[in-house]
Amino acid sequence: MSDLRIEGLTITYGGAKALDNLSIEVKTGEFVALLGANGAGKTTTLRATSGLMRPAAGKIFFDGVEITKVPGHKRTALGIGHVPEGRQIFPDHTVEENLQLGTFVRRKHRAETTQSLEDMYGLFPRLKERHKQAAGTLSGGEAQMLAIARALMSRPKILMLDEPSLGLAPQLVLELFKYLKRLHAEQGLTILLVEQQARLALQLAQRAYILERGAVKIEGKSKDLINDPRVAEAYLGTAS
Amino acid sequence: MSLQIWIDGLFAGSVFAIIALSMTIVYQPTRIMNFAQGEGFILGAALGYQLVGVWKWPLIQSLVVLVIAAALMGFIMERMVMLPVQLSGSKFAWIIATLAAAMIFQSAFNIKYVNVTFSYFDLIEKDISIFGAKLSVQKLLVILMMIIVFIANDQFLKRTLWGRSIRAIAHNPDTSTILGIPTKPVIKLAFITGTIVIALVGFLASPVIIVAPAAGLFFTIQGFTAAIIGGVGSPKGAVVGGLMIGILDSVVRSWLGGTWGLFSTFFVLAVILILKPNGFFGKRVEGR
Amino acid sequence: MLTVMERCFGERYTSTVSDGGNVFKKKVIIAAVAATALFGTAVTATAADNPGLVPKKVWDSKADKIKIGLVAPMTGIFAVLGISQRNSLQVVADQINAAGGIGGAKIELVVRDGGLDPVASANYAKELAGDSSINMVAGPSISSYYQGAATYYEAAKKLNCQPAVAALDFTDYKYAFRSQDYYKDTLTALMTVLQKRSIKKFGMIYESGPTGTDFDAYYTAQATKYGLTYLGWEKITSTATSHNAELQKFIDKGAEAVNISNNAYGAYTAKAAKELKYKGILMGGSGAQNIAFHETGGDDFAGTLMAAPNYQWPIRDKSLWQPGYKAHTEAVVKANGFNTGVKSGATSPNGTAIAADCLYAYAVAANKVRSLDATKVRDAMEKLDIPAKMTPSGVRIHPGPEHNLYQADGINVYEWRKDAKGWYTIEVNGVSRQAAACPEAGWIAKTATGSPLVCAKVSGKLVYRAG
Repeated sequence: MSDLRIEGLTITYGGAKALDNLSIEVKTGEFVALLGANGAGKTTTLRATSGLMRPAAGKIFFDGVEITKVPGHKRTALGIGHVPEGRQIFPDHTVEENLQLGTFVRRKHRAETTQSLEDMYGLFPRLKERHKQAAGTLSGGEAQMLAIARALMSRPKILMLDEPSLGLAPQLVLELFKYLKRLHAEQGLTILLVEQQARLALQLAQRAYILERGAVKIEGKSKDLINDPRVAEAYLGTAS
Repeated sequence: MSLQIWIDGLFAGSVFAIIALSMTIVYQPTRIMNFAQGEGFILGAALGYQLVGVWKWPLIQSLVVLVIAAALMGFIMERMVMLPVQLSGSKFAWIIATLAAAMIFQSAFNIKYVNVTFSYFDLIEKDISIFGAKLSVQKLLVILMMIIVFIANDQFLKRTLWGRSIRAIAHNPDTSTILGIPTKPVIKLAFITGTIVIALVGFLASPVIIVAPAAGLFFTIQGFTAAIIGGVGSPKGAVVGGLMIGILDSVVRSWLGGTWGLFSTFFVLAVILILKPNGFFGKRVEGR
Repeated sequence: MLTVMERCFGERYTSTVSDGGNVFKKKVIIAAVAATALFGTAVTATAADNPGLVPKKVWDSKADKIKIGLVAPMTGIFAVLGISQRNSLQVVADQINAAGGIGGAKIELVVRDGGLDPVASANYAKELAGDSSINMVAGPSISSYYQGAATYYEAAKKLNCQPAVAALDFTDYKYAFRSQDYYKDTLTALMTVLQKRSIKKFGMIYESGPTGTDFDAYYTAQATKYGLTYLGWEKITSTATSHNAELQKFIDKGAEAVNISNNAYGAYTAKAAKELKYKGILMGGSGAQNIAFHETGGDDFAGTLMAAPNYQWPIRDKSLWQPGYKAHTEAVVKANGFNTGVKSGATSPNGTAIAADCLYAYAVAANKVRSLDATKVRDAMEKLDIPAKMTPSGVRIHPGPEHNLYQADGINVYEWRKDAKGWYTIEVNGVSRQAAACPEAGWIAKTATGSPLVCAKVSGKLVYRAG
């Protein structure tokens, strides 16, 4: 069981409410999308779940345990993986060093982490080719692969991705989402995906929440939402 | 020019290099040049004076107390610097925070040791001769300490996951946190380690150089200058910069006269900042 | 009589001498000695108008308080100076207050910490100069800092007295007095000793600034008169962590003596002399009292010459101490203790008697003219002539138009020595008061009359004979 449950989360940021009594749930093995306009509170939700922001009210449960007060770095060990907005790879570290940093919470299990490294090179062969290179020299797509692979190195039970498609060419976005689908389908990884490209996200995810001003406005199964006129009008449009 | 002058410069340079290294240790995960760092030097000198000099404690006991006291000072300093930095969010908060910490510690030393010069006896009153030039064992200890601190720091950063984590925190503390790296404890540890290192050199060097309670900022500036010449954040740069200003000062003073020593240090600093704005081994300097 | 004397000198005489049963008798003797000292001075003395510290009955200043300013480094590397000055001023102030104050007004110190910051020091001097409630200011110390402050004092006609300004000519300053040896007298005394010892070449290691400049110019102009070759000035800065480079240069040039800094930096030269096993003589002014020099110089500091106004602290036979100096120093030690070097064991009192002279001279002069008016007190101070045995410093105060409290005859040259019992000094070129302290055959002491005495061995005993 690796359910993520957020109950009544409120986060204030510079006086304004970034999240306002937000409640969402991601069940084990689910692929859930978090959609909404800019500033709706998607990134804040992920950052709060990772322990980077302190809530003013509300509770976060993971694996049935309340983690609201657990420091951020300890949540990684519990199984929460997070691919932050803008990738945030370490440009001065080599590709391999970036991946090794992902194993920080499992650093005492040397054999396991070596295996993970091989697994990632298997999954993303481009990274193997460039493993000695400084990560700052990677292209946008490669860097995104690295960011995801780095998060996977900690063997998370849930992977949260914050707009992985940002700044990628359409071709690369499709390739990326293919990887995500494989991770979910083949490895049974629970995924919480924050995306601007709502249509694509709804095609991948089983369920979705649509946020507005820090609260859930609409929730439901993806296939229902795609056909929901409120969603189509406001979030799908023709652009994305 | 006699070899003695070069050896004196090597010693002074080693002192500055260790100070610069200790500042680098704090800089690595924080991107903060800690202007209060030199106060750790004074702590080492003061405890050496008090424990070994006045109370005649045995060396081992004194060292244990020194390390504990320095760790405590590092812990307090971390709170004094990082709390305002984290709370204010200003890009320049660290300057005021570290200067304020320096002033507070300096005042504390002044209260206790207002008219004392921390010069106690050499731990080992012995000289060795190198082609006719003299080097006291005390000075040799400082030079050896510089080499050990440099190698240990360099290998730690390059070879260990913890070392790489420190570099990662420097780049992005939030991302480090979500990878499971305990950023705040690592920053605390950096302050503690840095303070222990500089306190040890203060302890070792104060019998040889004259250390007054208020001289902390002077040592900070020497370390800071060394770090800038060598490249901020680079252990190699700290050593090269420290040795350079130490030897340069000694040689130029002997060659052209006293006032030229200081001039030459800052002249070289100016030239290097023009030719190599990031110092010899520095990557581009990013403020936070 | 006794009552008056006790009020004049308070406990400082009685407390240090009394030992149980004979207290009263000793008090009487001390009072008698003090009375002789008081009335046997060059200043015409009557019961109502004497140069000692007069109780308020004698005259009424109608003032509330007498405020004495002090601008000095109270913190930082040279805090020892400011703290010593404050301690000594406080001891004299307490004694005068206990005796009724100056014209009934109690003395209060107003202390400003100028650190080693010339701008802050000048600003504090400006503040105190502009404060009409301040009667006199001591400091800022260090010649270069004083240079900046003097104009404020002159403009405000503020009486000021400088216990740590060796350089600069005070004839230009109408309201300033120097309670330190004037550098020309100091350097002359040192060169006189060098000449007697047949030394030919010497140099100077001193920080840049007006003091170094004045010293350098005087040595350059005067050295040949003493058969000496002056090898020049090696300038040092506050950032140097060793003076080996400077001293090595003088060693290479064959310097038999080196003048070291009076300030904290002199300790580096002492250290260099130890490290380079320098065979020549170190010499300095009153700065060489600083036990930091003994700490860094170690046993090799022995032989260092120190030219200073009366500094009898390291003279072991206290019976040789000037009575006023003894009383003051003992009061300072009682109130503030003394410093001890952890390495060398050398000690120094936590006060500096020459600073005490500033306030002492002020009080005597103010009582004499029965006024607190700056110009009147200044005129009276110029005319003072207080014998050495009475002053806190143990040096005769007779400023004259040059405004130097001490004249050339007030400068002694001491040599630092060390034996099993620790550090001590002997007088190499002292005044007659120390004639009994004949250290070894060949030493020359000058006398108050000017004719030198030579120490010689006569039937196994060391005695001075007319030279």
